[in-house]
Amino acid sequence: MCAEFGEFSHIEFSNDENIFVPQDIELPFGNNSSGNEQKRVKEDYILPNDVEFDNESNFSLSWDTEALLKKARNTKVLRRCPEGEHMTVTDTDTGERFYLRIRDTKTLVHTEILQRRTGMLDRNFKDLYEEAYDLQHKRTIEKAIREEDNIDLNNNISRNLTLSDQPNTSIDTTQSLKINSKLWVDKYSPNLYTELLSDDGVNRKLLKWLKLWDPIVFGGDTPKYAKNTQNNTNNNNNKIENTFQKNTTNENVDDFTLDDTNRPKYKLALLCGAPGLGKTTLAHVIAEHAGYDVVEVNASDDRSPEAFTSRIEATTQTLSSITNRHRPQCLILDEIDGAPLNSITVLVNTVTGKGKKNKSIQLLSRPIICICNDLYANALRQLKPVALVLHFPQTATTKLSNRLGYICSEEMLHSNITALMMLCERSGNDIRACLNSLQFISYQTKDISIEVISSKVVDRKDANKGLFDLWKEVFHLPVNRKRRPDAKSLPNTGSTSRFDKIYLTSLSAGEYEKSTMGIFENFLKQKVQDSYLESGRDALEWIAFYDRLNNYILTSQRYSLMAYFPYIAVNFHFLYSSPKLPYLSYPVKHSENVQNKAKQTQILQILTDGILPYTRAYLFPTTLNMDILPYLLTIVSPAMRPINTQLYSPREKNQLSELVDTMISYNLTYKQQLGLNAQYQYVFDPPVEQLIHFAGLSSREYLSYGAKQLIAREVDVEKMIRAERLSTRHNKENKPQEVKKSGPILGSTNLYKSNAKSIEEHRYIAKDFFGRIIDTSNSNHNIQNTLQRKYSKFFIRFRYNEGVTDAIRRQVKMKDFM
Amino acid sequence: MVELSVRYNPDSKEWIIIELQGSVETYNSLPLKDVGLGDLHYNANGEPLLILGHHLLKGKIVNLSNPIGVFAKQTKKQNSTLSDSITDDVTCDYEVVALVRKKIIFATRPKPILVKYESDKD
Amino acid sequence: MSLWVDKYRPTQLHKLDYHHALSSQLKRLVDSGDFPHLLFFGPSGAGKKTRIMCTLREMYGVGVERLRIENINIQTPSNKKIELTTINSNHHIEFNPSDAGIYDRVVVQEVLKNIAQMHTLDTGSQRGFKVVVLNEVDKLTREAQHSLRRTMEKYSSNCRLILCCNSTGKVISPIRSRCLGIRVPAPSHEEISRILHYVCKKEGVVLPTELSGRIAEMSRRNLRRALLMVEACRVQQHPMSPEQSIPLPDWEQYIKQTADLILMEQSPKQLLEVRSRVYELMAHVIPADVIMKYLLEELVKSCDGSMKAEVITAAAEFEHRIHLGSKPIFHIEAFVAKFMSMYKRFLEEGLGNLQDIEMDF
Repeated sequence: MCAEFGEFSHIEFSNDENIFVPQDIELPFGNNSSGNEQKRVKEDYILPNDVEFDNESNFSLSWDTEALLKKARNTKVLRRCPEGEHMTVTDTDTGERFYLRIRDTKTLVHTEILQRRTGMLDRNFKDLYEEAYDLQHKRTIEKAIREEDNIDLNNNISRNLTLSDQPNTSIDTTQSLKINSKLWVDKYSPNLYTELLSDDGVNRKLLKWLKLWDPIVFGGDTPKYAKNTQNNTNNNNNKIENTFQKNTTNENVDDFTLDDTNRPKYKLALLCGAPGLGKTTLAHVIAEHAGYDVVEVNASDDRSPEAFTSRIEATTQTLSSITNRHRPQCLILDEIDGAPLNSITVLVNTVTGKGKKNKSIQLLSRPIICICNDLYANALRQLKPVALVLHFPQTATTKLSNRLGYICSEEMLHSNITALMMLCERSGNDIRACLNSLQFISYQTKDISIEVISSKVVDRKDANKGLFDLWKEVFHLPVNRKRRPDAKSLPNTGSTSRFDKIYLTSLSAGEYEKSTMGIFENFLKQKVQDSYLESGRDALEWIAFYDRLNNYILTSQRYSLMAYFPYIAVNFHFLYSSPKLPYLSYPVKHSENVQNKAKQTQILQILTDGILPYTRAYLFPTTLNMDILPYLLTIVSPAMRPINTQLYSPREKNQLSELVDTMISYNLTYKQQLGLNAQYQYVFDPPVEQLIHFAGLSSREYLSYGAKQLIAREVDVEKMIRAERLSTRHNKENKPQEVKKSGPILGSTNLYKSNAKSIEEHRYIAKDFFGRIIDTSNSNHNIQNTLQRKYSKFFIRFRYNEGVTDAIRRQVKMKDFM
Repeated sequence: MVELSVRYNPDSKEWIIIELQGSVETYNSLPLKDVGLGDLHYNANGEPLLILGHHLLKGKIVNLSNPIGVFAKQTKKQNSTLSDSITDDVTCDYEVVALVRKKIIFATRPKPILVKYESDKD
Repeated sequence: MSLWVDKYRPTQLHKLDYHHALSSQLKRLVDSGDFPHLLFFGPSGAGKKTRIMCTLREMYGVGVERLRIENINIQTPSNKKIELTTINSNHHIEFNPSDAGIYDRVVVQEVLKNIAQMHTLDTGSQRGFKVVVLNEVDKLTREAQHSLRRTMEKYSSNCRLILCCNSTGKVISPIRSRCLGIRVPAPSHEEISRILHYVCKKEGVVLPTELSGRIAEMSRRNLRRALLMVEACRVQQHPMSPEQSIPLPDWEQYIKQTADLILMEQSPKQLLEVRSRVYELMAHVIPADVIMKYLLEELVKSCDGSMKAEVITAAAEFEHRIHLGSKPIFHIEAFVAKFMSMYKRFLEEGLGNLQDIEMDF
């Protein structure tokens, strides 16, 4: 039903094509928004002066419909299809169909317009309507007059053209100058919510957010939509109410919730978008509309952290202002992307209540609207999470050109819609730029035609476009719109103009490093016919050219060569643009790769640092990585019998000690680590496995857990012994024997001696899991002697048992301890 | 029912049990008697550190759920002065030598001590 | 020291196993008492470093084998601190200036100056000069090399440089002319298998002749690698059999797979896949020129004779460009794209020809 109802009101207004104002009334709600939604917004907006909430204004919609239907029934609800213009209405309860005849606006409005003030607009609807009616009336009269004038004007122009050197012209222009002394931008800037040109969704969101502040600023009830879920249960029998909810859910209800202090979840609104979309205007108009006094801080003001703090506090902490005659203040921080980082930090802290000593007093109680052009500016990074970010889409060209058409007619200019649209396009839908150019043109001629616009007078706006815009333009081939007869003269079609366009965009976007990386990471995903990969080849040649050029510039500081960078984007455009809208992603692969590489290099470095000097002398970092490590990992993972080392054969023992030796000389050991499946496992430390291993190749599990554990312990012990030996050598300074030389020899003596001793050992070592052969086997008399000497004080040593068991208990007597 | 007299001197020493996960051995399988186990230290956080041979053990102090009392049994043979009773009274006295309320558990893997040891003292 | 590579590394000139003529030349050079700056060059694993150490040992005796590691801190003009690790003995100092990356010039200037200006106090030493061994000279930036040449002349009285690099192509000619170039060629297959047999005999392991031949082949005449391979083979299978597989490093297998991918399909999608694999290789610290070289070797194998020259020319050009630029990925991918384009055209033309022939029948 709602849709039909919506149409109903729509038809009501747009019935008469000539009416201008009703069209404008519709603006805030959008052409496709349903009547219900309109209603709802109407209910919730109060008059700025009207501080208290009217409880009655909260009436449910069903009532409204019913009343309307009743009224309609009284007058002209038909059960049969009437002749002439009509529309259908279906009753929700009975499913009956009614037909409403559509009458001439005048009569209809007088009977149907709601007399009561519903508080959604800042004026009575009836007044508005009357005003509109008057305006329309006036307009028709004016039009008639103008048409007469036009004939004169045309004559005038033709006369001017022929007699251009006559002083008459100059007089003519000065006259018009006097008339147009005010800038159009100011003259036609919207003062009311209804006059806004920007996107309805954004307008409404901002207003809605601002209204969320009402309870804390003005007191009174929370707005209906803030407690969405509760509402639902209250009126759950109301179908319309339900549809209503559905319509609004797409606006992400979460953004509009209140926190525990009854303030909106986001304390800030951040408007972002290209210049000239009307962000500042919107903020001002909406703040006014919601009943605030606007305090604006922009780039021209002092924005040092101190000044910022005092300004924020002055504006937002004045709680008492509501009782005075003054209205509460709303702070608008314009051009915030240029503010110093410290100031932003201050702002964020104020908003979140962080870094303040007494939180309760300093709680932010006024809305703050921030405006920026570049959402990705560094300064805004902290701000974004705490702010309601509103993206400003491009103003619709049609909407803008309509408005321009209106202004043209106000200013008595001759215009046609194609020319205006072209103007919009050229300026990138920048309202300000359009108006300025229009005013500029108007001094010269009263006729706005395509020729004038496309002449050199209005140059293309040098817009600073973002990287994504650049990439989009590079990979997107604009489709030639055939329905335009004058397509040739429009931009975006011929290859020359495409060349120019991409060149200029690339030039203005700058950041060649990033933009080239973006192109590089995205171009292969484009769907372009390239069977022999020739464009791929050429494209990569260009990328490689970029790299060489860039490197050359950086090393030789010849920055003039940077002039060649934009052509890379141009070339990619010609090689890889397609009519389909490209799917783009931000280039991260390369930086990821750089990071990974740094990480691996770090591992390699750690490993190298620990390698013994003698081994290291023969190593280069690359040979270590490429030649030695892959084999080393295999070599240090021989098959080992998972048994007590005491039971090892001499050969195995020798193998083990060599293994330990190798591990130490290459600074490797095993480290216990919690694995993915929550099991402990031993991994190499430093983690060289990941240095060697490649995804996709089968990873070898080198050794069993037990073996690794054994080796890890052996390595520890061996290291200890070596440290021991070194220290004794330093103490005594008796044997200047080289460690390196003794290495192999040590190993071989080890072989025989350990063999002999291990049998002896069995006698007095009863049971344990893993023997410590180096310790126990008196592999080297030298070691043993030093150890003996060292620990002659205590013969004692400690054997640690992994795991714990209570199973074995022994009785001990106290007297043993005493 | 034999009445036991327990003498308790509140100033008696408190003992602490040291619990090791593992075994203490000597190099030559000599008996452990009269061998100093090692040095017990406390670090700044009050955590006990035990240096045992060339191992450093880090432990933690745990309260025993059931405190243990160490009693020394002292028997006295008293010849009664009374003539009618001929029996010798053997009285038992228990003296509380110490109370054990805490124990230190050294359950973590010992760390080998690699630092140069000052062995010049001996 | 129990890797066979390290264990059986000769430390004296007369014990070197091959290039005996070179050894005796070095010996005579040392015996003459003084020698000019030396530039050892040759492929990886040929034994440059071994020869350098042997020469040093010949000069100073066993003292040069008592090595220690020291860290030097240097501050660049831009106030960045660099830590450089050196390996010293009492008689020589060795370091790798390219560790410092783009600051290698500072390293070369500062460190060398410091070392060169300090006279050796060790009067017992029979030589009046210190030796500085510089590794990977070919990886030095041009600026560093230029700053090196002045130092070489200025302090030649009390300091000798021994430079070590893989290829002199990247060493500027002023430096080359100031040094006595000593080329250490890679050992031949026979020499490698002889050494392998010698080592295995010492280890008490039986090495089948066939296997040693295959290892020598696969090691690309890199002795270090050959020894590592033998040891890995021993660990994998004992006793060794003639047919057993010789493990290849993962990265080599990975490059092989990548080359297969290139040959399998030539499309932008495949190129993207190749790119991610090249990234992976680079993340594993495999140098770009090595990737290029191995890739080329694999690709050329499946190329028609007429295409080979063209492919190699292209590879050479792109390899050169890698060094001119700063992001090797671009150049490697450009090469891959070029190859793909060439290969696909070639294949389809070949196919067309075949069809033509069939048509004739």
